[in-house]
Amino acid sequence: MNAELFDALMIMMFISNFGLLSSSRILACVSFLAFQGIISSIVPLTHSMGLAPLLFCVVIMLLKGFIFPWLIRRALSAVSAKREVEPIVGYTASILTGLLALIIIFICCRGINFNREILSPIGVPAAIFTIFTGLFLIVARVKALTQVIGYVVFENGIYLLGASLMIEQGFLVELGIILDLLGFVLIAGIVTFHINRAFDHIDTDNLLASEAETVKTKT
Amino acid sequence: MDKKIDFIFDQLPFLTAIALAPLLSGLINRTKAFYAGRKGQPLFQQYYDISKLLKKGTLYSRTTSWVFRVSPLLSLSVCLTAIMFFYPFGGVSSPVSFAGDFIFVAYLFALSRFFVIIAAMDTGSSFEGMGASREAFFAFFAEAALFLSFIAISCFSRVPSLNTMFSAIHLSVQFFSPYMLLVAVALFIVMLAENCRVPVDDPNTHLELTMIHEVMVLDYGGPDFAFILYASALKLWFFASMIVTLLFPVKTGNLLIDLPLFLSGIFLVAFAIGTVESIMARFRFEKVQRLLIFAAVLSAMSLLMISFGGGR
Repeated sequence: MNAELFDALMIMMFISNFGLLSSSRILACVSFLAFQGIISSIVPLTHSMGLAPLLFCVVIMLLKGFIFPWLIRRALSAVSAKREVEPIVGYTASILTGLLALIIIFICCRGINFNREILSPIGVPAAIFTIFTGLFLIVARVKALTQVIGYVVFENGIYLLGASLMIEQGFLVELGIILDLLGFVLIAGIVTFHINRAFDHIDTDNLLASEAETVKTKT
Repeated sequence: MDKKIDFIFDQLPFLTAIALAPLLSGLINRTKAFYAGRKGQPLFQQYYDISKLLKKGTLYSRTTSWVFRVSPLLSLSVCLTAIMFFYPFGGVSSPVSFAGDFIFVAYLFALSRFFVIIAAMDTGSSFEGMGASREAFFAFFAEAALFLSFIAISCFSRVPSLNTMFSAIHLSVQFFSPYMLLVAVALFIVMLAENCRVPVDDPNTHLELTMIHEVMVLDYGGPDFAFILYASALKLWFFASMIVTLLFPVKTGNLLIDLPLFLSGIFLVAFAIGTVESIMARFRFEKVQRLLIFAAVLSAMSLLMISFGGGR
């Protein structure tokens, strides 16, 4: 039963990753991010039940499912940026890249010997694919906010990797990481706001050019 | 006498398909009318349409050649043949079946589509050529999703032919396996695309900017158009019965129990199509392509998980 539940959660992770790769609106990306956060917070419960894991799950779910998306949404409305994610790699190309990566990840993961009992053979590929999606979003999208989203997705993947390998002590480390992440998202929201104030946009590609421009106009 | 009755019982899936296929469109229209708060057309509207059209004569343009005349007959015969490959209930074996026949069936549909497309080009109307171009473009993506779904199901049930691979999926083997759920969603999207339903194509519209399938058959009339309507009804039935066997894999082996269960499943699928048509608008062309690639990704995902992840 647990393995089936785990598989179903992993499939939802896959789907939310493809959703992130294909959606053209930042708000849609944020919704997928919240969904992914809630899913990944439930995952540890499939192999360890008890008060501590439950508490841990609730904390993670609150942070990743509600507080991060809320912070990003707030930053988005503060900068009143254009709603599109403005991809460098197109949406269809992104989905196909994701599919290609998925195939490679599945082939590579078959060769890994984990030296421990794992719940399902698709857990580790799902985690690595989530990491890939996060990195891809950071590289292939222009806006500063999508890069924040990519970073959080990346962290989701690392968390999922620990959860699917059933590393129990990982919880403590994870709590430390999530604190850092909270700080990062808070700061990123403020930074985005200031980038927007200084340059009138949050397009990271043009930062250098606009910096030169601002310097010129000041002098 | 007994043998005759046995034969009829064995061929019951085929007989139900040819008898009830036009009912599906009536059900879909009724569902849409229900959502819109209207009364809707009669359930048997498509039967009336087909019988009316069969009584009429035909008129062919001088521009057209034999391709134009052969296309409706070909699509009808293709759909009838495809149904003979797949008997979705009752545990009876289909009359035609061989290893790898799902590839044959997929290409049967491709053949009929090819003829519909060149028949549309044959009329010499630029309007129909536009529809043909769109149909060819979307079919390209839909076919990828269809093939990947077939391969995923075949890998899951470990048998290579269409009828056996679907009948190997039943309740005792798997209860809502997530892999098959993914494939069912992919097949649902392919069904919407192949049968020109709403997010891809609007069956009601007659606006040249949005039509895909409807525009290609504009020049047909009389019996030819009746064949086309009937063939598309059969095609919808074929796809709907695939989805029913994936989602409601109740197979007792007794025809008299399976038949009502299967029919209620089919009607649920029709209801689902009607619901989708009522709550969604047609997609932009650029988005349709993304939707079909998404369907292909879903079935590719389940294929990967089945072949690398053990696939319970």
